[in-house]
Amino acid sequence: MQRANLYHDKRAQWGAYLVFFGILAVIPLFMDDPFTMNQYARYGVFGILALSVSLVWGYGGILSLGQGIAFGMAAYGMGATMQMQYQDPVNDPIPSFMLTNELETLPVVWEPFWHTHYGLLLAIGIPVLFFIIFGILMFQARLAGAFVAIMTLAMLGAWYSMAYDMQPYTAGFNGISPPSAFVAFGVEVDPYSNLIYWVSLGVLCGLTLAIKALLQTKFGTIIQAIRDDPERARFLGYNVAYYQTVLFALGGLVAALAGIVWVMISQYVSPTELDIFFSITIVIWAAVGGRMSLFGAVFGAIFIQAAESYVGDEFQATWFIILGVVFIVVVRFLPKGFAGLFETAVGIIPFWTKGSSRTSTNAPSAGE
Amino acid sequence: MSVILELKDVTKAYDAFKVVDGFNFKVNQGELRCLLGPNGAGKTTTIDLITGRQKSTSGTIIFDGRAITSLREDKIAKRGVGRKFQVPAVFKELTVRDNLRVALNKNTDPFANMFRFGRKEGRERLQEVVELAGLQDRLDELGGNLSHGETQWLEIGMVLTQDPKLLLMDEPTAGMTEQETQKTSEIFNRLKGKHTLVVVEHDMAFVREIADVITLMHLGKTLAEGPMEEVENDPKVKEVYLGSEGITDAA
Ligand SMILES: Nc1ncnc2c1ncn2[C@@H]1O[C@H](COP(=O)(O)OP(=O)(O)O)[C@@H](O)[C@H]1O
Ligand SMILES: [Mg+2]
Repeated sequence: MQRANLYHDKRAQWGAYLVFFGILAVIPLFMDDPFTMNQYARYGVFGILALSVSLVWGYGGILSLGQGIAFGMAAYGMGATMQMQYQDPVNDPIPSFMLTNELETLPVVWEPFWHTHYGLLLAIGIPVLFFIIFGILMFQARLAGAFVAIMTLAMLGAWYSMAYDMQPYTAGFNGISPPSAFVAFGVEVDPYSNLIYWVSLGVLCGLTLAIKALLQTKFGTIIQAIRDDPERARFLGYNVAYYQTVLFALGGLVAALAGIVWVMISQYVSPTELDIFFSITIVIWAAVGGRMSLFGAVFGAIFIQAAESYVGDEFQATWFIILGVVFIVVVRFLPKGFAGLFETAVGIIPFWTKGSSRTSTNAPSAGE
Repeated sequence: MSVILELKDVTKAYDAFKVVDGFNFKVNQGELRCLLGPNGAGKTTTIDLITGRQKSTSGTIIFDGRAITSLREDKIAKRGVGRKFQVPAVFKELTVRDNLRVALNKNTDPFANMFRFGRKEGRERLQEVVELAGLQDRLDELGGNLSHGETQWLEIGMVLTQDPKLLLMDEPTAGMTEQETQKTSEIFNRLKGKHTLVVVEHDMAFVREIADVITLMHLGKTLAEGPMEEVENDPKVKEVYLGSEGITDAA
């Protein structure tokens, strides 16, 4: 038997997930307040975005400040889908914002959104495809670190301007506000209901578990190896650019799913989804919560956003300063974020395992 | 005996300065070759050229019957070339066990590896390597927490796990204790025959233990090649090392 940290025990980790999501799932049964449920559903989306950064940056070492690209693209796709669910092919085939922008026919790019399934497919597929192409361009050229950060940020800025400028297609600054809630399989997903909360939590939970499982595979170990030393990985026969592109696209997929759920909740999409500061905030959530911990990143997102809404009313103007200070303090004193603190705390609990054939083949840092 | 690695007139130039200068080099299957030479002779650069880390200015590199001259690093590695870096390189934030698991590279496709948990994969092989490298008790330790000697061993272990046809070892015993060096020479002696090794070394006692044939590099060229005694007594070698005690001292 040898002393170990319960934090690194795989069974304890899965157990903790079960308890965490279990408790979250029953909250509506005790609350039953539609406005709170809408608010909590939004936290779910923030959690999903933080997951995407944890996966790509925490585990893969790719500092993407452009997660908002996939989030925003998917949000526009979902906005268009919901808008067209409302339109009528015969009597009212063109969204009203297009009419005010003097369009006489529905633009071709909007046609597929008549069909909900095509709309969803495009809303998810296009950002993923874009991330694949963008990833190939960056990683074939062996860009890393700050260069990737700057490239993704610049690209995000470009998409923001596009959404802003292409007014007839995107409603520009005003954004698209589909008049009715999303309907799937005949069920209306009311943004002010327990259902919307469960949808958001369900996606968050599903993605957390899926990524957790992915990190247990050899792929998960290899991306962490590449994060540590891409050159070493290359000489072991791994096509580093290929792995990074796949990982980057997976991160894009996760952020795109967040975008879909976001528009179900807010029934509104505008260039704010592509705002540069928002994407940087996502990275801050993950850094503060612990980028090398899925749980930590999700917690960081919820914690910071809850703090903003709590503190925000009084300190709205200074909130960014507070956030900046928290970020600097955490990066300086807690490189593993809150999760690192939690790891140390759990380590105090007496816990033993059998020799070195213990819990898992994963690194302690690759833990929860 | 068949030739597994051949460098034909390979040159690597930085501006006018030729670090490797029309270098010709042949290694037979199953051989253990020592590559010697003073600092700056171009030994590490030669390994970089073979493994694709640097591109040669001119010349051809043939491995296992095919030219690998302008291939990408990972493709050369997949053909069966493994290397140990002069400055030991392991994955610092992965455990020793995971370092070795990553080195197990039978399948390098990302999608295939998403469905591979690898608990059983290559278990005997890992067991063997771990014992050889003496890392049994360090499996759960992070790569970054190992001592210098252990890091050297881990990297050698990774190259062995990779199971390449050709192993390129750049100063594998640097920083090792005498005992560790002794153990390394035992392992290398065991590996030759089945594998082909090219070892860059400075420790002459070690070279004597392991080498059949040595190649002495000087200013990017072969100065002498042959068995140890022959090279040592070569007048050209004596000339280059004039004033010193011979290659033992210079290397
Ligand atoms: N990027 C570079 N630019 C210019 N010269 C270089 C560069 N890299 C290596 N060199 C030179 O190449 C020579 C050979 O280096 P190296 O192959 O590391 O020698 P060795 O391993 O035999 O000690 C050295 O003189 C070194 O200064
Ligand atoms: Mg060298």
